Amino acid sequence: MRIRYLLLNAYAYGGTVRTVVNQANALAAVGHTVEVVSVRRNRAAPPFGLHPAVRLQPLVDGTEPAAARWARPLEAWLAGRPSGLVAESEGQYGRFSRLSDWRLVRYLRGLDGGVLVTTRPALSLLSARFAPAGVVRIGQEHRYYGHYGADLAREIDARYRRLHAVTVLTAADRETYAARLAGAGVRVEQIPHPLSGGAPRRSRLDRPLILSAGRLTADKGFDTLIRAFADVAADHPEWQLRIYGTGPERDRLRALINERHLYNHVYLMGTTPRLERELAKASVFALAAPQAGCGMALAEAMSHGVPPVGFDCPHGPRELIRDGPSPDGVLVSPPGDAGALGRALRKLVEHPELRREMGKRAAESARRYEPGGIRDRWVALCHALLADPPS
Amino acid sequence: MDGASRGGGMPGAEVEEVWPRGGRILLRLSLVGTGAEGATLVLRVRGAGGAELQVRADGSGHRFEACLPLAPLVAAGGDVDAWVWDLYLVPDGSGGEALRLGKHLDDVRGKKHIFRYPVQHAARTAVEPYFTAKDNLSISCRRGAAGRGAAR
Repeated sequence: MRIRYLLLNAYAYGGTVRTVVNQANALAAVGHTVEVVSVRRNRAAPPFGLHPAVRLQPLVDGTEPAAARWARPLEAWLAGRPSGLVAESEGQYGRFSRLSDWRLVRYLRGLDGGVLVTTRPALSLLSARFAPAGVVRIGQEHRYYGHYGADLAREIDARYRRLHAVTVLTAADRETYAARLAGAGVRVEQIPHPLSGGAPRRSRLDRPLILSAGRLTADKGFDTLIRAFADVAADHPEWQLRIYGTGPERDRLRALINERHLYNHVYLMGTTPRLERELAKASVFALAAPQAGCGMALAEAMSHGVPPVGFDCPHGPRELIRDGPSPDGVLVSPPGDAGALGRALRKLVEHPELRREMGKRAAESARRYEPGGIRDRWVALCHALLADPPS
Repeated sequence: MDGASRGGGMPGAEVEEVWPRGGRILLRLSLVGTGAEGATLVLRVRGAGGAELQVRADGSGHRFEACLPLAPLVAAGGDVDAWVWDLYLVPDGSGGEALRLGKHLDDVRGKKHIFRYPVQHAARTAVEPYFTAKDNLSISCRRGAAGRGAAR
């Protein structure tokens, strides 16, 4: 099978790039012909290691020596002109240009068969417009429909109908896209991101440690988590809360920690290249985003057998945690309620046997996100679309 | 003394909790690798010929608690605008051996930027306990400043 991933910049750091490279490598490792096509290139080598069989191709190479660019003055002029094809609602509009328009259209029109996976709406919209019949066109969503502005959402509604499939991360988005694209024959599949791979080490769940991770922005609710934990720490002073990540809210969170006199119990840890090692120490993993925005950290924590706690909201922990008769974590309602979150944390802090039961189930549940299984779902989707020749 | 040199049962004074609150700094400490009937907390201004303060710690065995009022900490500065107290614990009957206070027995490296404490003020001086690059505990005093964070 021949599969191509089209992304904005394979040479940059970022969650999208990392997951695309993981997928490309997993497919190449089992013998598929994989190509990664990057609209831009801003450094010599990509930061994430590619399987040697994966071909990497930039469309606009910003690392070319200036002399090479002067030799083609028309292209140099185009590179400085704003894009006419990409909608201005695209968050990274400034990264596109007339030159990237021209190269993208030439690339897409020149495709012959195989599968094309586009990794952001601007690229999926161009794939829908310019990729020829005979190419299986899959739009891979890395964000949530509800986060797009009205202009971009309108374009998606109108043009994604020419795609063969859209893959989404959450069940809530699967329903949204199915409704938006109803009657167009577009297959909407929910395929989550894979875990980072390797065999996750199981936490012993015996350290008095609650862990959280994410970018320190206001919408992640870390202030709610700190308030919730304050109740627990008052009665269980040996417990700690460690928050991994950096961001604009750091100073405000530190002020809250000081105001509540939690400086011996709550720590802003900054970033670590080895989050998985820290996850494997924790007894509870907590997220407090009151609405969408639950990254891979929660699934990673579950894979280490750490029971997760989070608010019950669309696109959030609800997508990963099964709460009920034999729960693999705790879903807290109403979203944003520090008191309710504190009660859920306290229950896990006070009942080690509950942590062990939930943690065991969490590790089992997280097997859904193992890279091999996710790859097989991609292969099955591509084969099904290739076998049913697209019109 | 750093974490690496602490091995082999060498005695050490480990900081458990730091409470800068209500015009004083309360320290909860544990004595590791040794025990004592009592202990004295010794503070020395960093630099040659610096001032020294002594505060009797409460407790015995391995657990000690010491309470530092801010007044003597800020009075010892003399003419300088900023100075640092390095903290030691001297167990009774140890022949006067001073153990540098630090936090070396947990799994957190780089405490300087992670374990941060509130700034308190006395006599127009900002007083802030902090962990050094070697994970030892010191107290920074700055006249008229908002604390270590503002100076950086």
